[in-house]
Amino acid sequence: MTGLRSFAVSLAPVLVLIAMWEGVARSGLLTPFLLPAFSVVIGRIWEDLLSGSLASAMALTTARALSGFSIAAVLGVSLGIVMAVSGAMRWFFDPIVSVGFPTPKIAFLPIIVLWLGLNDASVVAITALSPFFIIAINSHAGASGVDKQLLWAARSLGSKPGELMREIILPAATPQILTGLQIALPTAMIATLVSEMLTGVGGLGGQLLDAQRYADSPGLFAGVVEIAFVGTVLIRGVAFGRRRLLCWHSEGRAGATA
Amino acid sequence: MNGLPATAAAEAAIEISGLNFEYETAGQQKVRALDGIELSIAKGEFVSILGPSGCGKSTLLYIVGGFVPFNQGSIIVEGRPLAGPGPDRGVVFQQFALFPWKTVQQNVLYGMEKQRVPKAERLERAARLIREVGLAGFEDSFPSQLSGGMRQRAAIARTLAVDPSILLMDEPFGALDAQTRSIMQEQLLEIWRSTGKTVLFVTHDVREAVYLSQRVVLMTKRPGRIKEIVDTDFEKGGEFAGGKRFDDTVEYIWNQVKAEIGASHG
Ligand SMILES: Nc1ncnc2c1ncn2[C@@H]1O[C@H](COP(=O)(O)OP(=O)(O)O)[C@@H](O)[C@H]1O
Ligand SMILES: [Mg+2]
Repeated sequence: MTGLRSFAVSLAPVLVLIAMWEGVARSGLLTPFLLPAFSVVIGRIWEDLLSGSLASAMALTTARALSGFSIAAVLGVSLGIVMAVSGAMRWFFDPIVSVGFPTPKIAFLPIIVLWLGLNDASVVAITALSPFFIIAINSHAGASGVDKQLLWAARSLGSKPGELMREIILPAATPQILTGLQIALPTAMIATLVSEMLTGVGGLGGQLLDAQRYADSPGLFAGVVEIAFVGTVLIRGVAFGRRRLLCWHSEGRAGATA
Repeated sequence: MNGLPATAAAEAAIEISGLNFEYETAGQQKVRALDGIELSIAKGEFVSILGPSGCGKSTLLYIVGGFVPFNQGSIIVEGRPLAGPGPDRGVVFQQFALFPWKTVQQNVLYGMEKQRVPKAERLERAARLIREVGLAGFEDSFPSQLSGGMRQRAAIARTLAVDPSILLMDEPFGALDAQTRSIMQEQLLEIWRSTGKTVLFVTHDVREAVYLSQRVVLMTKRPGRIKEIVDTDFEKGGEFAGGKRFDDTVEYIWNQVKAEIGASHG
């Protein structure tokens, strides 16, 4: 299968990087404390896997990342579309979004912790806040950029103005809404990890913090590998969902028939 | 050669009087697109609009479609003042405006769903129209999988599906090859003769305009005014075997159009 082969080919650079890592670590150029060998790190991940601590940390972080991201998706897409449709909403929210978008959202973490405490709720809240503006901006752009002749065509075929939102605007804006979600997902994961590290409420970020505290260098490297794994899986998942949803779009297919 | 509508006394399908229109553009500038349009189209009449590109043909169609609000002049459609778009006026857009997330069949079904046509009839009518425009076998294709000509035919099928009493067609055969175009022309004439629909047809093809229509409205360059209305309601043998009167009319209109294009460079 070409799919499998191209996957193997795309994996090659990662394997080269890992081989270099292993080589440098074994050469003795750096102490094992500064750079534990990849094989040692894998051994460490294997131990965590057997003890069950890896699964529970991954599950916790993934659950926090996805619940925060889902909240951001629902609110961000809604706000973006409402802004595209209503001049009053646009007037009100445009300046707020313009200021909110470039602000590093992690700066709000102390305030959120002050309000919600050192717990899941704070992590989920900051995870929802971080990607919110990117999602809203892309949804707004998608919904306001809908070709007006599509709306005209729908009207002259007999749809009521109130039906246009669900039947025309939303599907027409879907590619750009999904682009916004894809760009926003890493932002959400950064927020989850950083807030886990800053608040010490467990998860992969909390584990990293513990490893640092106990000068456990294999633990630090194992944490990074685990985080990279979770991140890759989530992002691939969203990309897969996009292809499924956009089967009608020319980008969603390998080759269009003439 | 100034012609009058064949059925001048009959009730008008579309009555446009004193229509001026300008587009507002960025920087408060205004682009005057239509100037003093007076046009009465009888029920069941086939009228073509011909003019240099940019003269406002699409704009006129959009206004009659009810999409673009105007504030100078009046338009009466089948006895009532124009108020917004509606399924009584089917529009075929120059750029097709198919719904890209729907298949050909779903596009054709959309209007009938809005009209609450019973499901069995909906499917039957969609299948027939798709077959008639030559897209059988492409029911489940998305517009992005079709060529320009196929998209255009899908858009025509979608419009015909709601059975509008007035057809507003903006260069509907522009993306078709010569052969498909002539098949589609015959089908349109057949539909027009058998259903008595009113057709307002924009084209830049003089022979097509003369062949299809009863009157040809010639427009000036922007801002579009009506330069002349030519009566083309006579027996025609065919688009390319139309006889002396046909050829003379085509030549006469050609000269008018050339003069108009020349004037835009003067
Ligand atoms: N949305 C718009 N805003 C400003 N000017 C427009 C717009 N649409 C069309 N125009 C201008 O109005 C004129 C008439 O356009 P159009 O009706 O598309 O002409 P045609 O269909 O005859 O080629 C053109 O000069 C065009 O540039
Ligand atoms: Mg045009």
